[in-house]
Amino acid sequence: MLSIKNLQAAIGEKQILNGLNLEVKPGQVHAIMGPNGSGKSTLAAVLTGREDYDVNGGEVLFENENLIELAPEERAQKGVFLAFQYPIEIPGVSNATFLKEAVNAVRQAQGKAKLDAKEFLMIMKEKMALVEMDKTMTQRSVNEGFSGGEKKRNEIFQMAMLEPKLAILDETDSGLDIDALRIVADGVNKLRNPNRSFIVITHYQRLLDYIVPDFVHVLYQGRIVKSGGKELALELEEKGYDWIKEETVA
Amino acid sequence: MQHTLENTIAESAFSEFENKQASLAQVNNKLRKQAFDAFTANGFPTTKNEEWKYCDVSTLMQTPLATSAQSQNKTTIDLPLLNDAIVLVFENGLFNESLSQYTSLPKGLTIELLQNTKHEAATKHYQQYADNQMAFSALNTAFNTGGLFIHAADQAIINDNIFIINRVSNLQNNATYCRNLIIAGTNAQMQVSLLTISSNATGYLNVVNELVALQNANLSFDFIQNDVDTLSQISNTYVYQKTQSTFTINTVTLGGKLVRNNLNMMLADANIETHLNGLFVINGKSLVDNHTAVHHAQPNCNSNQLYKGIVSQNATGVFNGKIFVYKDAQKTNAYQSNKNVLLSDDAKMFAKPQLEIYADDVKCSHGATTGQLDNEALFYLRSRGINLPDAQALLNFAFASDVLQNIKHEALHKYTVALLAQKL
Repeated sequence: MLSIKNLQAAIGEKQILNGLNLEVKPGQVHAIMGPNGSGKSTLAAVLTGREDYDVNGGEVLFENENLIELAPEERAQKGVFLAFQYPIEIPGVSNATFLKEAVNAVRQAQGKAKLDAKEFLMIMKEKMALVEMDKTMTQRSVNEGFSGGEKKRNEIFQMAMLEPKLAILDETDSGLDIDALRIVADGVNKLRNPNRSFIVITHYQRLLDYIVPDFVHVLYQGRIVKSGGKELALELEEKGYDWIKEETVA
Repeated sequence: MQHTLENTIAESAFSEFENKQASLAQVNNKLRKQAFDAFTANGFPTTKNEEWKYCDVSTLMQTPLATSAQSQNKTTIDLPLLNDAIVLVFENGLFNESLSQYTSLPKGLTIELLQNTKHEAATKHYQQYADNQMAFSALNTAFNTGGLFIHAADQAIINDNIFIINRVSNLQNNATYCRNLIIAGTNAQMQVSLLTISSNATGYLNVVNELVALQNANLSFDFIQNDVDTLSQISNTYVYQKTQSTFTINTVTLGGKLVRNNLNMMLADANIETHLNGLFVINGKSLVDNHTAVHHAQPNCNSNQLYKGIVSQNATGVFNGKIFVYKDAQKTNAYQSNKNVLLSDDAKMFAKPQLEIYADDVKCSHGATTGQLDNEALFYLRSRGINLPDAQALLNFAFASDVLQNIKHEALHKYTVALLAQKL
């Protein structure tokens, strides 16, 4: 589904990704862990097409198509979704309006008929239940005045509405208390299926107790320096990142 | 006026106008003459005048002062929001009886033509607030072809929606005039909307509104300007408020070649509340210049001002907001906010807030920002599959909609929102 080969990217003069390789097959959940500044969020930004980043080497194929050449909306239309670490507040645009625009834009690009108001409301109701979302939240402006937990829940809700093939969760656990974390993780787990893949970027092993990954990768200095199964996350939790850094240097 | 030749031309235009419209002119002959004399003394403003720095009216000076409009456009005005409303239609400055609907008015509401009315309040208030030192205002007083007098009697609560439709059509290089005197009596409530529309027209529309809210009255005025980009408009709106009154004006500009709005608010008593909201969404080579002046003459008054602009292509926006707090106006709260978005490299915006405060116990604030659409928000929308132009439209719409929320009349709000959506 996703094939990243020797990916290199910079922001301004600063080189951040230095030859990153990753293969994600349908239905798999890959966790990416690593110390601060290792390039985790840059990876998410590059995959979703943030303009500030300059991809200066390697390639990213999504279903055999060069992802890097596509505009952010085209990537979304093809089924790539990013749950933001810091979801943006958009005053004046209601959550419902925003999602209706988004869902129909994606459907249109995929050659499907647009949803009418009634169909949309039905689907929205169903997906809201998935993340235990209050119905008043759909009438409020996108993320405006939402608590940290509400914002993250809203990200998962959007993911549920857009039904992506590949979802990238960028530190979705940051700023969440344990109850909110469980709700968000439950939402993600309900969305797991054999055709949908996830890249879960996180600092902490905690999230992976809830969203159990198939693979865990350690990102350091812009490269994946270690990969393993879910037990690797536990090892990192116990020992920290220093032993990996030492191994890398050695 | 400096040039004698221009003076001669203007004077012959005025005397010709006086002869032609004898009946109309008689009513306020003296006022017309005074206004015309003031105009000839001052002439048209030039861009050397600080107040007109960005607003070059030299092309309007080529337009004859008196209208030559006679024939009337018979096309019905097909706007669903006019159903069940009181509608007064003016075509090229002349009242169009057949397209208007104003029979069976509610108790306490008087609607008459200014040139016909014998109402005491009309005589008392007409041309009491309009300033002859303002060239276009003086020209309106001198040359207007009649207008409307709308009066809510003391205690009258008018729930009907009152629309003034001013249409300029099939008229080249003409000045047309729109003149309104609207008075809400003591304890009265009223809401009036003025829509300016046009087709196949060049020249300019000259609007003067005198709006009066007497003691404890609640008056609101929605002013929607949606003209073709070949027609200009100069408006002078004068608001006079007595104690405990509440006034709201929403000025929405969605079209026009050169649009200049002067809004002058006199808070003549204590305990007054006033709201000024404005939105302009312009493209092409349009220029929209909003000048506001809020005069806090007495203590304990609140004024709230919110103006927003979206300027694209080669268009130019101007906002100049003045707040005067007089020596006696202690405990004044005066707020002003102006926010603008430029959507292209060639779009221009000039914003100038001005506060003159002569009292020492007041709360005043102003803020003016001009920027571009929030890139983070754009990326967020695009990352959800929304195409760039739609994402921009959505953000612009959100930016503008909090001004439109102040239009309390639901059908008009809906109509304006639809116009905005079209424009974006």
